[in-house]
Amino acid sequence: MDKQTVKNVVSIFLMIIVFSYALDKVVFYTLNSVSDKVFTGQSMGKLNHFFKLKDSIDLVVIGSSRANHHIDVSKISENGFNAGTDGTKLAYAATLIKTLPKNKKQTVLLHISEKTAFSEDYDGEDIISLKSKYNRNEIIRKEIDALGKANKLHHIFYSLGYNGSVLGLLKNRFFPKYNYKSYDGFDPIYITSQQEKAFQMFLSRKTTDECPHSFNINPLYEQYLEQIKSFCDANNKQLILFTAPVYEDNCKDDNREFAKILDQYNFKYLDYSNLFKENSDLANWRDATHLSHKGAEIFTTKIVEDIYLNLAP
Amino acid sequence: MLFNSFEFLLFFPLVFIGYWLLHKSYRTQNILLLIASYIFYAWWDWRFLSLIVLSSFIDFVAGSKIYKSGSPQTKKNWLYVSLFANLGSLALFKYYNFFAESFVEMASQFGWQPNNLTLSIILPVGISFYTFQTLSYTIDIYRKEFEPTKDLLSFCTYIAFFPQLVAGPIERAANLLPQIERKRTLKKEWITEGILQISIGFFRKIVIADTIASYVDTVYADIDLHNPATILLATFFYALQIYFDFSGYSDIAIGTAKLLGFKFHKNFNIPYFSKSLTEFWRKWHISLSFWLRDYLYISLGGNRKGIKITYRNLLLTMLLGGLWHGSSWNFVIWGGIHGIVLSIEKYLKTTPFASRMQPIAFLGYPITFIVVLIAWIFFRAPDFFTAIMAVIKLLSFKLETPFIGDINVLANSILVVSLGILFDIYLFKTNKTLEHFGKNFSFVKTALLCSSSIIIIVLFYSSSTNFIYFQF
Repeated sequence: MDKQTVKNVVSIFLMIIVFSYALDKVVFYTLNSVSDKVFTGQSMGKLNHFFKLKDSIDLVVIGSSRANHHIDVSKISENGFNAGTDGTKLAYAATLIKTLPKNKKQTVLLHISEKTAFSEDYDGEDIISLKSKYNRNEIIRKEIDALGKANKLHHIFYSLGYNGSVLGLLKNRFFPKYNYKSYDGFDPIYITSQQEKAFQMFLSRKTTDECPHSFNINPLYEQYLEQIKSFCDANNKQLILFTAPVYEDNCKDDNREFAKILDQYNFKYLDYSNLFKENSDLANWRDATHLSHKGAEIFTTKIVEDIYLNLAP
Repeated sequence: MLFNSFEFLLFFPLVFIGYWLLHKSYRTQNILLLIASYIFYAWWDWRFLSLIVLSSFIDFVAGSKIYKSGSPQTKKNWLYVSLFANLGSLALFKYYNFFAESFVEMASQFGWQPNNLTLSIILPVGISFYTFQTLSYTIDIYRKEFEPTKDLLSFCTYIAFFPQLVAGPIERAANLLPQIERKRTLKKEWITEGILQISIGFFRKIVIADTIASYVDTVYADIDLHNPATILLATFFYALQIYFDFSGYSDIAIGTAKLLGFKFHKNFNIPYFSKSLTEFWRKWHISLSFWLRDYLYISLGGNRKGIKITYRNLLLTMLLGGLWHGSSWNFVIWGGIHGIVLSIEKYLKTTPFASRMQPIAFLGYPITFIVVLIAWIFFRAPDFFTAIMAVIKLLSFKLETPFIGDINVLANSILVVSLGILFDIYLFKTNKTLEHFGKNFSFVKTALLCSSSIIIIVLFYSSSTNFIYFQF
């Protein structure tokens, strides 16, 4: 290779490195400024909304879609927010809890699932849903790094935080679907005829799952439980854990074992997995783990009763 | 090792620097390439490296013996050795279980229940590709179209050359071996061409193909659950997924080779812009279709033995081409559909019908695409019954609202697919090929385009899955 070729190769690769690094920063800071004005939409908007409100609210519902679509937070508190986000689990939830203000009295209603708790495979992958804040929030960055879930290139390409969410971000910035000021985070599900049909088909093919013989809690899950417990105890938070209803859960052994474990840690825990056992109305369901708006109404009424009657300090 | 892995991001620059530092001796460069290629392969499973080494050694010896031998029978015997070794390992690793299962199933239809005949074996990555490559070497020597190399190192490097080792393009010895056996230079235009082709290849693979894959996978995981409109959309997406996945892989391979001073043939040429299936096969997986033409179709007699034999050869070639993709009847049916339609096209060409159709020849584009789309159902469906169910549902012509799934994923899919299609339309309209797209670009323009595509990849990439053609 002659000197000119070496010069060519070196110069083009240097240019690519410099241009892509610079372009990344331009894109990152542009998207940050767009993102800061976005408060609608399931992922980014709701997260921003939570960060905007978290220091002032007195009740926050955290968890997966089974928190998001099931708890009408307005029926529990006038100053609450449902931060439930589809597809997230305990790593995501615990990280959000750790960002709550220190020493402010707040109630945290956290949805947890015994299935994830006893799953050997759970590795906190859901924390990736917070990646847009990786280079913007120290707590989130630390939590993602602790799990080793950051993309290896995230330190170079900051825009990786916006991977997969640019279109949603732009859409919600310029065409927001609702007025976030009157939104409390609860997203009831109104069933379409297609969903109804799909659920009926699912039920016609449903087989009975075998109940496992032994239950070992996932160490990462247990670690998160310990961490949120000590955070809430130290920071004036009333933490209430709950499990949302499921359609025909044949195996209850895991729920019993899970309740025992939580009891050992002195958690306040409400298990509603069997709430609809006696009520076979399919209109309450969208699928086997998600309630329709109708089911969510019944469920919220029940949880309100329990919180005020049984768990109020 | 996958092209779209963090390991490759470190591996290739190291190889590239080391390779060009050794530019004074192409043989030393070949040693580095061979070691790098074996590491590249062993990253997946080092045990199967022995298969490549063995196959290389057998074909090197066979090629040499075929060439040197004076007797036609000895030549033929050595060709059989090569065929037996290559097709034998392919049959064992890829097809044994398929035929054993099919035999057991057939026997059970007659009330006979033989013991389980299947073996617990893994399909070595890339076996179909390097087997065809080595076969082309010995067959070409047998046909006196090529002289064997005397250098085992060059031959092993040719077989294992990492850019094309696991999923092609299937480069013939006549093109690649001479390049391995001479000093390579890195032409200025090859730098820009190579870098741009790699960037676009990555964009096609990890942005377009992987993004639409999630919709396709969801629908094809449960065809029974979805309506015809959804199945149609998923099949349309699959047609694009497999194209962008495999052409993206080929682009990365061709671009990577170019940066090392090697020129591969192009493997895709905007295949969905084809007026006939015959044209489609001149543009789709070109290295395979030309291989099948030269070594299978022509070996069977091609079109030299009358019209009936021609149709038979065409059908047989496509059936075996289908089977090459995977050990499943679905692939055979896929090949069969292509074979039948190719035969029909061939027949129509011999009738006055073809000239009468000239004014509306443009209809060939949508018709070809529809045929390809229907055939893809068999290619993608996990089994025969699912494929049939999908076809039956589609034929009901019920237009309902398709399943949307995650609206963000669908919106991203539509955006990136549109970008990919628009770029292909641009290539088609301007009569350009991606191989030479960056030929006259300045370094600044190339670096800017490459950086932009890196940022687009960063913003839109989807969690990477394997390249579809790795399984073949």
